[in-house]
Amino acid sequence: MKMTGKDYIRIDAYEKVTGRAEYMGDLVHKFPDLLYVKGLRSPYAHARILRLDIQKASRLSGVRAVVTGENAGVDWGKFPQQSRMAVTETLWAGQTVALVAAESLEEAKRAIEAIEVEYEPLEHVLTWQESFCERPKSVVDPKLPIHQPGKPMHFPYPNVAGEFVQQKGEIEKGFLEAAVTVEGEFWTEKRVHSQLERAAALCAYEKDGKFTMWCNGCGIHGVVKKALAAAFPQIPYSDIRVISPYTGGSFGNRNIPYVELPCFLMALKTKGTVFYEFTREEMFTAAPTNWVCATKIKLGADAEGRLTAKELRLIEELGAAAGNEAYTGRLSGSSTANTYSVPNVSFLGCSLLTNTVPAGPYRGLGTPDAIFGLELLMNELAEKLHMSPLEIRLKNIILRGEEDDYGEEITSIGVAQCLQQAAEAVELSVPCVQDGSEWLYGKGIACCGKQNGPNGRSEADVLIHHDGSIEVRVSCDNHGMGVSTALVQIAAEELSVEPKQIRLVIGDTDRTPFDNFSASSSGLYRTGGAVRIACRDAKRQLQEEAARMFGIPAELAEIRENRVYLRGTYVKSVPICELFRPLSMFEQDVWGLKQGTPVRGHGVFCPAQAVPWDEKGRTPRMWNWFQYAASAVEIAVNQKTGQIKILKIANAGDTGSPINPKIVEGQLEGAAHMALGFTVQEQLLYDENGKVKNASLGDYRLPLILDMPVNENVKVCICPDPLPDGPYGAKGMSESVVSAVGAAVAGALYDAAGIKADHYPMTAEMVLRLLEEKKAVHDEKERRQT
Amino acid sequence: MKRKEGKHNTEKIRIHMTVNGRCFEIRTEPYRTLLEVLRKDLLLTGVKCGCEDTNCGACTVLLNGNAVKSCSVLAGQADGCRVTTIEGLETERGLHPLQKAFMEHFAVQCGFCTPAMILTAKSLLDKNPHPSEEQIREGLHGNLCRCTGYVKIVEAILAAASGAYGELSERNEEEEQEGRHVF
Ligand code: FES
Ligand code: FES
Repeated sequence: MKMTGKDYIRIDAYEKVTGRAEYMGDLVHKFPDLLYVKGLRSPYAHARILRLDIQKASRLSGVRAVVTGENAGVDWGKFPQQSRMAVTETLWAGQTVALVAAESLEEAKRAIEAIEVEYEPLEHVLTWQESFCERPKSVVDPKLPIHQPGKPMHFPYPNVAGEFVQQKGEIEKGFLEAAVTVEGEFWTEKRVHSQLERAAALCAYEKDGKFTMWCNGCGIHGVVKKALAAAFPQIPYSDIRVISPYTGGSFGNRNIPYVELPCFLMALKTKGTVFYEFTREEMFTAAPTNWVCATKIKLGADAEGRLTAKELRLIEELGAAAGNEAYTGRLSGSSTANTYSVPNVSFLGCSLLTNTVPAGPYRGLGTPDAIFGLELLMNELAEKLHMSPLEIRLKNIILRGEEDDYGEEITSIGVAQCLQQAAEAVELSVPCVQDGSEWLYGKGIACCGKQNGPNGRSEADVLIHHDGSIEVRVSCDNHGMGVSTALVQIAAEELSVEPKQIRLVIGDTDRTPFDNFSASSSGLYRTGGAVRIACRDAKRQLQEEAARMFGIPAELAEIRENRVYLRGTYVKSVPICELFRPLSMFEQDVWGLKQGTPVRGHGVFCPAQAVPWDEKGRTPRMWNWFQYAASAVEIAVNQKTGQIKILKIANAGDTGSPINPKIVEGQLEGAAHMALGFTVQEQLLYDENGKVKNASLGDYRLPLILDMPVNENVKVCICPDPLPDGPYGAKGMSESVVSAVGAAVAGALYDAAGIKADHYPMTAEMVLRLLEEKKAVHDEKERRQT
Repeated sequence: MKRKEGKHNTEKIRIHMTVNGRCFEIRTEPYRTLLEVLRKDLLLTGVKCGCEDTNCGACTVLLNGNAVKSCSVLAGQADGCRVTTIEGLETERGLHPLQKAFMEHFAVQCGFCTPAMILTAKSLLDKNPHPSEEQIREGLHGNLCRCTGYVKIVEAILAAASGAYGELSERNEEEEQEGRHVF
């Protein structure tokens, strides 16, 4: 029975189309004694707190607790950066200065207003351009470990927080061998995830002194529960239960428990049940953003267009991620290392701090930002060598079995097919016809790969009940991508039953087994792997029981379609439910399968861990596998207004073999739309105090339905190269597909108007400026000629 | 919902609404929005809240058949009106064709925008049973979806309009009647 590779209707669709699906905010009414939490936030990107008086606020009616960074009684170093409260100094506008818990939201708001704070504004840095220098106006974290005396640094700048170096071959030799070289500097801007459901957590201090937390954060076991246990070491690990209801999107935003920890703190302080939900404004000022990447790249290629050298400098701007040593530019840099085969590589990356909200993972983990320049330079190489952008890419892509820059073998790569299909879908080889209007037309293409990373462990339980129903218990994240449906399909295939027989229980640390988190598009790969193993475990037990009952070796019993098929005995087959016997009070025979006691299979899937890199930054085991994508677009650029209109978009993804093709299509379409927002319009803007000034969905321009081309001009192609250790060849699907659109649009902009974007979003103002610059150069030339 | 007794009590207003065919009399403070009353007083949590400032569309409900953002309407403004939320679309005879179409066409991902999308589409189809793709796009421009890219949403609405998931018009008459018997 084939259950994978099929468009099985999503298991959550009914609940979602009827409004029955419960999200965080829908739980509130179940708690009549709820307390509401509100935060007071710094209006300055950098300021000293001269005075903080909570007296008046604490005395207001309905107020149950007012907590400051000072009186909280916790070690803020153990909190995720985004949830750390300011103690003497605020590091970004939006950082929490005080928290209030009150009996109603109105009372909490009133208390926030009654808190008296006096700030002394200090100098701040908001962008990588301001921060990446010897003497920045503000040093975000003077205690960075990397700056300890005696540690040599490549960028000895006070806001550089970490560095990573990688070398392959000999870079000088590579450039000597090059017939052509190209170089450039590129960067991106800050954007917010804008998942439709805001971050929220509800924490109940239970009668028995334990805590139950409902939240829309990722990784109920591996992130939320672990972070709570680390931040509140006085609470026994098993006294914390974390439950995840339906969640309205994350895109990486909820990988950090920035609302869960303060919520727990307030439950602890009030010994009550508290609810903390960010406002939409707070989602802009206090929730993590992407990290911006700035790259300086030089490429060399021989006369045939084969890359000979790649030199890359990369800055990962992390906001006020003080004390964070994990980031070094390596994560974003990984996306520049996995697509093209280059014999000589020099990579130097660093992370950089600024006075903005600490950044976090955002769909693609820096890939959309890091590969932007690399892809544009591939176009330039092609132009210099009179090749097409498609040709040069196809010529250089890594083949399955070859190594990436790290020296790790690539086990699955379908990017060539992605490129071809995306190119075909927009007829890339057919030049656009210019109609002489104010609109100019152009086409562009780009591709990329996004690493997965082998960290994490997933477990699954599979219960086969005597009535024939099957229960699968998992704890992976379920933000809407469709993993729950795919897991059911995998279990159905393994047990050869109909998916509708299977009930998925998901997201409750007291009931569902361990799972770190599903970051890096790993939910299906890792949890799916665990489900397969758990199904096989359950099946093996059933086989053994059946074989024992009929006196045959286990190999002679086969489980499929709810029956056991037997060989070597007088019975041919038995329904599985008949293997379970009723057990009565007077029953003596207590052995064997009994009704009411399901067969339990357990599965653990845990990819082999990464191997530390050597002094050249190389290792045979680092990223596990890569999802690939190619995007191609046809655009129109208005010469008078600078507006970019997307006429056609093709998004092709190597997401491994799809378990549910329609769900994968949905990711490719959604990613195309989201990426169009990144590319032409989304950007956080700051006022003179360093506060986000477009902190609403009205002012921060998310792409709407009207920004998307009509359906016939949105083409998605699934181009799978099956992953050997993925469940039925599947890998991740959601991140590479969002990452190549920026460079494709910039390529099309050049094709249409002959202007080169060096950063995005490519807003109308930017396009107009580039057009004017081009005209000025042109006029100057003409003037000289005459 | 927990709210302090006292100051606001005397100012409460009385509102009559027919919500999903049922008649309600609600006493509430005049400053509260229809969104708050539906979610917190009537526990119709299928009405979602994504922004509270009229920019996401997740709170869309039908007010006398017109799609409105319930965070932008004061509860008092709905006095005497007929309100439909997503909870009112499924009847004992089954799902509304739009609900079926959204399921079948994979137009749902995280689902947070879904109730509002379906209701907006319903008001659109009630007025224009055979819209073009452009008209659908125009009609949905106030509803944000961050997950789907809208392709499958548009597809689902076109399919529902084609009658592939059951008669749309028949159902409208029934709903009209339900409304009439209350007023
Ligand atoms: S909650 Fe009403 S439009 Fe967003
Ligand atoms: S399905 Fe998530 S916002 Fe539309």
